[in-house]
Amino acid sequence: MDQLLELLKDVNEDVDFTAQNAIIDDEVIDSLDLTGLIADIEDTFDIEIGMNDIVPENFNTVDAMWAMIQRLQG
Amino acid sequence: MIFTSLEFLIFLTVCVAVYFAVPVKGRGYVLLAASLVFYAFAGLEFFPFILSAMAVSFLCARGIGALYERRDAQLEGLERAEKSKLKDETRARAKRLMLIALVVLVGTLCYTKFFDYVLELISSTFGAGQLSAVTVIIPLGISYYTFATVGYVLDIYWERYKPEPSFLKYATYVCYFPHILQGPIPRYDRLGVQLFQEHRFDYKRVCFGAQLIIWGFFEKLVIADRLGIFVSNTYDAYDDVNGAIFIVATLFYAVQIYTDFRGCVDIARGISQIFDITLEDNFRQPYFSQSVAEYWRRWHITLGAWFKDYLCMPVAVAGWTKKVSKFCRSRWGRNAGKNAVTICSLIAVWLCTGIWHGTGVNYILWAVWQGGIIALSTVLEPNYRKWKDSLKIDDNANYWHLFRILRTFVVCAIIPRVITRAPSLYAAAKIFKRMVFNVKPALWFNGALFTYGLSKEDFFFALLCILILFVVGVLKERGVQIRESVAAWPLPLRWAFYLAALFSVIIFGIYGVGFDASSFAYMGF
Repeated sequence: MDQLLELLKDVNEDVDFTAQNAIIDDEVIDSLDLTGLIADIEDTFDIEIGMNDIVPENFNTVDAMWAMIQRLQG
Repeated sequence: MIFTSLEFLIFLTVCVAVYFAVPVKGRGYVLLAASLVFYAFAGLEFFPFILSAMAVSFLCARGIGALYERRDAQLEGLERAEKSKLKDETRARAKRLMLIALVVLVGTLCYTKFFDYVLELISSTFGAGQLSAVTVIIPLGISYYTFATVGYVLDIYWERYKPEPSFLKYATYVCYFPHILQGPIPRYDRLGVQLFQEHRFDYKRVCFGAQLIIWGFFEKLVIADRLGIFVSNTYDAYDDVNGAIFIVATLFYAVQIYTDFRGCVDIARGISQIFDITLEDNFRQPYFSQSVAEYWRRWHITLGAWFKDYLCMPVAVAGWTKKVSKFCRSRWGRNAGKNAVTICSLIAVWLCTGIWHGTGVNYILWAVWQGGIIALSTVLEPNYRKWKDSLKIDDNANYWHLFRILRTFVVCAIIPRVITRAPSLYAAAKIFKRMVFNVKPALWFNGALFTYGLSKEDFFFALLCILILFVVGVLKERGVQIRESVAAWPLPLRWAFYLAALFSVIIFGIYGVGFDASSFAYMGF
């Protein structure tokens, strides 16, 4: 989880992502940030994120991102 | 039959009357019939194109859905390796169907939009004059229904929802007449599912819809077409016009193109509101944006969102993008790998956005400019932050917000507009040169501004309209629900306001000879 928070800090260090519950829906990060974040997550956790996974529900909260990462690792 | 024509108003009145006269369950079919009649008015020769797009996307999506259903039924009781094999096989078959649909849909769009251009290019390059004699018809709304159908097939392929079992219901979604001219670009899971729900008559909602239609007419007929006179008389005779006049003309053009496009979308949303159907808004005060990326999230929102979901993200997770990213990461570090993905996605999106808007060199330059600015701001973001900190700039200060808004307006609404509105790239260069090096401010005060098609009264009326537009924009930015507020006024005042709005469109709308109010700027797409 800490590694994920580090990656998010890289996107925008001024935002407390753990307090957000609509990161995508509220445009806390935009689509370009998201492309970079996906590349970072794939590289850091050695997973492949497919188009089926790129839905707001998987990226709206840190917990949802973490759940997706764990699912793809499993 | 165009939204601003008398025929359309009669057609709409009949539609609304029939819609609410038939039983609730049949109202979706009234929309289908109305959409087909509307499309028939545009030309019966367009029907084969839209029908084939509907049929191909519907059948391929049904095929993909059936494959997934069969897979789900067979998965139970299988070992992990067998499950994985079954999933891979199903996905490969589904991919073939998805690709068939994409080739037919995108191929037809490219053929109708670019075949003539390519022939002309070959003719002019190799001197084969007879080639340009072939003319391909461009079906009404082909871009919009292609986006709608491609998005639907991809959503089914990515298992975002189940395919629609009824062809008639799906056809209503594709050819729904309010959005077929200029969008907004629909999504099946947002629009398609609404069309056949039970919609009942609601006086307040119908009034709100009618008000939005009047506001759309005001934007199009009173503002856009009025400003268009000045813009045409300057840009089309650019050799004799001073830079000072071009500055005004370009500002007017920025407002013209916005109100023209927004007007059509507001009319479409107003019509839908009467039918109790919600169409997405395509604009969120784009000229108040503080960055280029933000501007593109506020301008033509549904196009940007479509490109994000169906092009930007697939490119970001594509195998070849990952290879590029890995290469950059190994050579220049983690940030380079991350930026490589972002830039690959940006190039794909802006290449397609540029081609979609037009085929000339102007549009290629326009796309390079917009995409280049966003790419640069992404790559230079860390330096930008350092620079801002060293100058001790307060992010929340009003002067900083204002500076960013003006900067974004110039970058997004002024520079690219000159490139696309000028008759040629050479003309655009000349106009830019004059706007910088040959500006005579005296021309703003000596009456010269009133010699480009707008009389003094018309010119100041245009400025008043822009002021109204600005105030409405500010109120929306502050979250004021304007129509709700007006509805709370006392009855006489409220109706005086409604009638004033209606008569201002009738009296001040541009209907004169030589001005074709019927042609919306984005209809050609």
